[in-house]
Amino acid sequence: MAKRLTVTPSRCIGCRTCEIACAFSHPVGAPAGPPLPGLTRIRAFPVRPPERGIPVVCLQCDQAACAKVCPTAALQRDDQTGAILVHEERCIRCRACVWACPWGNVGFDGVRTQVYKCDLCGGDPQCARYCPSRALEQLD
Amino acid sequence: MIVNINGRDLLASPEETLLQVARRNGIPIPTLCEHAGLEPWGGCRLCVVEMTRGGTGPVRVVPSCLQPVEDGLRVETHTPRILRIRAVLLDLLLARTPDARRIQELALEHGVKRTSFVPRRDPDKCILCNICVRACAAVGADALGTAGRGAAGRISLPFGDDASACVGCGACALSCPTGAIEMTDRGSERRIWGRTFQRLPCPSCGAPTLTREHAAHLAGRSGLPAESFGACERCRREQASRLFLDLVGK
Ligand code: SF4
Ligand code: FES
Repeated sequence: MAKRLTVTPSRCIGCRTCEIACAFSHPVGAPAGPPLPGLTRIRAFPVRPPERGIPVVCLQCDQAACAKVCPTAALQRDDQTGAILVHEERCIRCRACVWACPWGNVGFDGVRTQVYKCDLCGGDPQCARYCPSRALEQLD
Repeated sequence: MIVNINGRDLLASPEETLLQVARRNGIPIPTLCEHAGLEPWGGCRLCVVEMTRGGTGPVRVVPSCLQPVEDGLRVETHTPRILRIRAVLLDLLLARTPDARRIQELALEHGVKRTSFVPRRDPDKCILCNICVRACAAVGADALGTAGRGAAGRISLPFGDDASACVGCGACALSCPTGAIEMTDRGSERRIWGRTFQRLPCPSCGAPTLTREHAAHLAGRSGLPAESFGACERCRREQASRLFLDLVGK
């Protein structure tokens, strides 16, 4: 069994380091803010007080709505990592996946005109690597 | 099975096309109408190659995007004849769409700096690759087709102006390789194919999302209620976070 990106929201301190780690690991597309090189695929929503947060990231669902609605099979599960990946060359940009994901985890990059989502960084998710409070972990 | 391309013996599986085998092995073949997510169409003819069966039969010129592999095929992708065919095609396309960047680049690569035909008087950017038509069919709306022939060929709605099947998803405009299809979003309004659509407001923040017709179309295809498709990603995520917050306790 592949490792799994595991979220423990009760540990999240709302620092949003994960968002920055993600944007830096995907240096493509429209900048999310001036210092960031790319768009983030994870969000940590701050909840206060006290200082904490709730990370929201793709769950790589077993019955993934995004993959189901895609008319060109551009979203396919990678057997190695378990991530549902966007095969951009197959995408026709109808954005059905964006509207279908119940968790809002598929975005559309208007600059590249391309949908994007969490790809688990090829099996080594950088959000988990940089999360200081182990709210995000890559576990067996 | 084994096919030989430009003198190299290459392993291929029966469901592959010649173009796929070539691409997989880093052999460049120019294409315009090929799209990995759509059915091959074979319309642009830029991907033509020379092919011989068993090494002895007659040399045939075939579009590699449509040609299934067969054991023992011998293929040449860049003979003088093939390059000449591609140059003529690009010469014609350059007369049709002098402003399309992709055509300009490809033409130049094939030594065509200026078209030797009479350029079209009021050119658009459509290169008749049919990607929009096939994308629309894949979406399931099937609102587009082709009309006219030769130089008068164009992408068209049925009867020229019947946009009733269009759901305003924008896949045609966004997948067109030359940006030939006009789509404008202004506020909640989307204009495309001469029709004006209303984009549904996100129930939480009011930002415009997909068109009402696209939501209904997705609902029809998925069996889910149309409301499942109306929220923007930002608000969905925020809702998810609130759901998780409820689960872990405040
Ligand atoms: S409008 Fe664009 S996608 Fe459609 S046939 Fe013309 S060039 Fe191809
Ligand atoms: S790519 Fe083969 S005919 Fe267009």
